[in-house]
Amino acid sequence: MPTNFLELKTADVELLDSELRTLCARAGAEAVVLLDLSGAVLSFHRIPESIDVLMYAALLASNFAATEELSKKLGVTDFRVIYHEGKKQNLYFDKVSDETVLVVLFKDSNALGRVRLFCEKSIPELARAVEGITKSPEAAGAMTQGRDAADSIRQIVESLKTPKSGG
Amino acid sequence: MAIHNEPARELTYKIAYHGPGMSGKTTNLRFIYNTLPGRQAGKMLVLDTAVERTLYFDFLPLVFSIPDGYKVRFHLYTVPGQSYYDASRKLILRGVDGVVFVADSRSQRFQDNVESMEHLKKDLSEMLLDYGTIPLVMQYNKRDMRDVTPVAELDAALNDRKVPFFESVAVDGVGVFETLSAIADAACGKR
Repeated sequence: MPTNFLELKTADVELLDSELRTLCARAGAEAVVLLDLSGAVLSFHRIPESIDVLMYAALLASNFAATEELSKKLGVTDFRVIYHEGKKQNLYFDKVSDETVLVVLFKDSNALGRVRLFCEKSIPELARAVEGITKSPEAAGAMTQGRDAADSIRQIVESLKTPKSGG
Repeated sequence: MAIHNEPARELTYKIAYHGPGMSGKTTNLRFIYNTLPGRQAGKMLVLDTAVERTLYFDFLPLVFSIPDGYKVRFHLYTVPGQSYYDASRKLILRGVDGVVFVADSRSQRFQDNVESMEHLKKDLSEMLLDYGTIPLVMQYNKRDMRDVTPVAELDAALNDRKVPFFESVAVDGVGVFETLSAIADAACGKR
């Protein structure tokens, strides 16, 4: 199967970044991230460098996916939102499309209603932006980089010189 | 589905390690994490139970810088092997670009391997992925144990697509990077 690519062009990235920046300001959020449910980050705003965004994305996406699966098994339809309430900070998840979810981190001093209101206002724009991202069977020129990466791993294998491979 | 971020000059592939419980999926990731330098392997996330069985998944992000300035990321996940995690296991396969099937070579685990391969086919189908064409590599692990099933027998029972296979002793790192290299080749379209 040729690997399918989600092609994030400069215009896509700028549009998503702009939408998240606006949402973050209006909702008074500490940070926002847009994920696809496979665990990949499409865009984020105000995530501190100290935070490992890839690891958090894997956890956040799987958290939403697991709750969504639970809702299906319970027969809950139109499942869209998860809210985690902490002592000082809260997390709000809102589904953007079948494959993407928006996650907002906000302080306890902020109102959930404010976050929810501005998420709902942003979702249609984000959904249109996500819908506009090209899906293609082979990213233009990108396969060469993928093959170069595979070569890098092979060089590591050579350097390790572990015996007993077959196939 | 792989992601090509053009302005960031990044490619990201998702790879899942599948197989029966305790076959060595997490051990593969641990060896990779402990061997690669920090600039190539990020923090490893392990969600396991008190008896070291994967509860939901393990996650290890790798990144390789290519001479022309591109970064290529491989996000490695393991799935929980036990059958009672059926519901959560398939979720990890969402959007996957390649699968490593880690079989336990011990004779008493033969049927578990066969059942796990059936789970893989079913889980991929439920995630709208095609087992017949998805990049796949087989790893026959624990070859250092006594009473192992001959490789030819394992391969005949599990590898109906005749994809590349590797004998391994993941706890010692034998075959771990060879397997990773092969799935990277397959996911990136080198074969």
